[in-house]
Amino acid sequence: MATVGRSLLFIAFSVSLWGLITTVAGAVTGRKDLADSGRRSMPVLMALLVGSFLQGSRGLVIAGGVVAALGSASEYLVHLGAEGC
Amino acid sequence: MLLWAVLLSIWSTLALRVVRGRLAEVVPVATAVLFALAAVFVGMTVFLANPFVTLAQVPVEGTGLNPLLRHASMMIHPPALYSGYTLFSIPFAFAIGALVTRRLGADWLLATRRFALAAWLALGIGILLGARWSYLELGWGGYWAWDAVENAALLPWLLGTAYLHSATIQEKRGMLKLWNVSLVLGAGVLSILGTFLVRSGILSSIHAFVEPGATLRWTFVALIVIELVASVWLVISRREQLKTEHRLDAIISRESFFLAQNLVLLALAFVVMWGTFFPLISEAVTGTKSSVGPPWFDQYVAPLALVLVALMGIGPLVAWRRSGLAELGRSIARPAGIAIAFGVLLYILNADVRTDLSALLLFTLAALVGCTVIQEFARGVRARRAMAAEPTAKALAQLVRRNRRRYGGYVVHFGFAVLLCGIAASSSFQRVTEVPLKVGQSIHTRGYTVTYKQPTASVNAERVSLGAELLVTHNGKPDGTFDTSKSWYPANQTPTVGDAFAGETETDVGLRAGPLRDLWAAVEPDTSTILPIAERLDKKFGDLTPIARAVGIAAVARAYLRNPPPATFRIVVSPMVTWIWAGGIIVFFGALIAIWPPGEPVRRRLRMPVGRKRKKVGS
Repeated sequence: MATVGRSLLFIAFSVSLWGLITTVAGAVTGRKDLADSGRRSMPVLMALLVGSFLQGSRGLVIAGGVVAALGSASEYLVHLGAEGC
Repeated sequence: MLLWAVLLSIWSTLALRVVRGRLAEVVPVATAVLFALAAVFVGMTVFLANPFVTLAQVPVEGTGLNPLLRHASMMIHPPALYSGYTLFSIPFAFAIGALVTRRLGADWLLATRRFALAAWLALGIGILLGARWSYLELGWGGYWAWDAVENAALLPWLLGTAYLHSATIQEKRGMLKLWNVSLVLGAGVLSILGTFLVRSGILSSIHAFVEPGATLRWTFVALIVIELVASVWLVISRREQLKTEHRLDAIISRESFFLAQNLVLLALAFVVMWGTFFPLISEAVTGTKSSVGPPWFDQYVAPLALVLVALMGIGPLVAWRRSGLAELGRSIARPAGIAIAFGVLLYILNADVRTDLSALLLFTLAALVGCTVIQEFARGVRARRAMAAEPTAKALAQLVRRNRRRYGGYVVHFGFAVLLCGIAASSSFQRVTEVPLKVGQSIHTRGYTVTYKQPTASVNAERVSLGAELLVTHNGKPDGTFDTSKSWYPANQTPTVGDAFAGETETDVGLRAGPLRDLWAAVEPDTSTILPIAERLDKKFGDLTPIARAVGIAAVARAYLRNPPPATFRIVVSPMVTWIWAGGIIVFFGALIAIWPPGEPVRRRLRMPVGRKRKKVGS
């Protein structure tokens, strides 16, 4: 399970870098879509880190992944809805 | 550090959800700051301090938690402290965002105010639970030792306390912008510094559980320097926009009392910081590492605490903008009169108090705080009863519900007064006795007679405990028995009897807690007679099977019970320690009231007085 936890940490590190780059780019260029994309990665980062923290239980990892997926999916749907409006 | 990153990500997600649709320019920069912090901490866990390192040889039962940490408080203390540290990152990130985008109104402050309060509350819980753990687990009879890591948590808490008060002035009057942003940035930097001190071990501390690598230390130092330089540069470069919108109208005003309170809190933070980092400062200047102890801290902290309590007692009675001496005199007359009467009574009735006038002054000022809070509640309830003709209980509930911050704050003040009374009494009038006793011998201290009734011993797979059963009488009346023991954990998991006494130790203190005083006892068993028996067994039998080892350890414990040598007892009688924990609980509830989100505003249909006609709009 240590490998799973470590892998989640690697992904979390990538997500935090992604969030940092997109939000900085969004703030510098004034592009709202970039800034929003960065902001939406925060729940994903949270789910990955919580999953990694609780990696002793395989079920909790899966639950963390599901929460991450649902979190980002719902954020994306809200984003689409907002654009549609 | 993984815990730090997890908590940061949770609070960041929550904060970004709370501010969604607001602060359009500030949020991207704040998000970037939060991601940068997350990247640093996650990066450290990925590249420098892997939390998933496995042991080369996996023990059957695992190594287990450090025995000192096996206490209920320790389930909450670390997450609470780290929650405090990470929650302070939220206002820190938004302050950076506001400075970068030059949106320096009160919007960012209002959006993150609850997070600052939550950070303050979480740090407070962590600090208090740490103190309780120290009191019950470390076997020295105290709860606060000015340990470097304890101090590190206290620093952002002090700045947070100052900020929570001065932020109100910015909200109401547009003043102290530069001050507030500096306090938030300072609290943010000190939070990282606190984490660094826990992890780095650069200052000797009870918390030095891990030895980090040099790279990790330098990463932390780099992060702190970057935060500090960026904060200072941003504040200096935006000083024009941070100019205050209004000036102080009068010296006697709520604003000036808040400012004075802020200065005292800052002075306290400076004293704590200087004392904490003195070993490093002295080493840099003189080449030798020397440290300052509790007496050094006490000589500066005690007078500052007195001033703080006085301000806490008077401040709520002073009006905003401008107040006259006569008006203040009228408001303060009753609480001050009761407090002074209480102080005089205490002086007459209590002989101990006459020996320590600073403690007497603190009790009097704490009484003033209590009376002020009660008067403010009574005034509010009276006003509501007169206005809405509500019964007292309903009027009180409505009063608090409609102004949670104000009345929650008053409850916090009250809790602090209780807590400070406990600290003053227990530190000024504590009686510590350390004495070797044989079975049947007694010690007399402050009306208590404590008799060493009989030795105790217990052996299980994890530890060996040797202790004592103590018989207590109070003022000649029997007051039951209580136990204290010291436990040894194996050092290397080697199959020898001696190894059972060579590892970590833990003290189970005996405690008789009460509202007026605690009787606290810890035993230091003399093992000089039994360790040679363990050595002889190991020499004779060498490596033992687990069962034979257990039999050997039990034989050693039995030898201790058969022929108990004198044990050294530390008996402490501390007045009013329970008040510290009770005050902490009151503070907790007060902060919860203040932090609770306001409900929807109640819209009432106003009835026109009979005989008056409704005016037409535009007429």
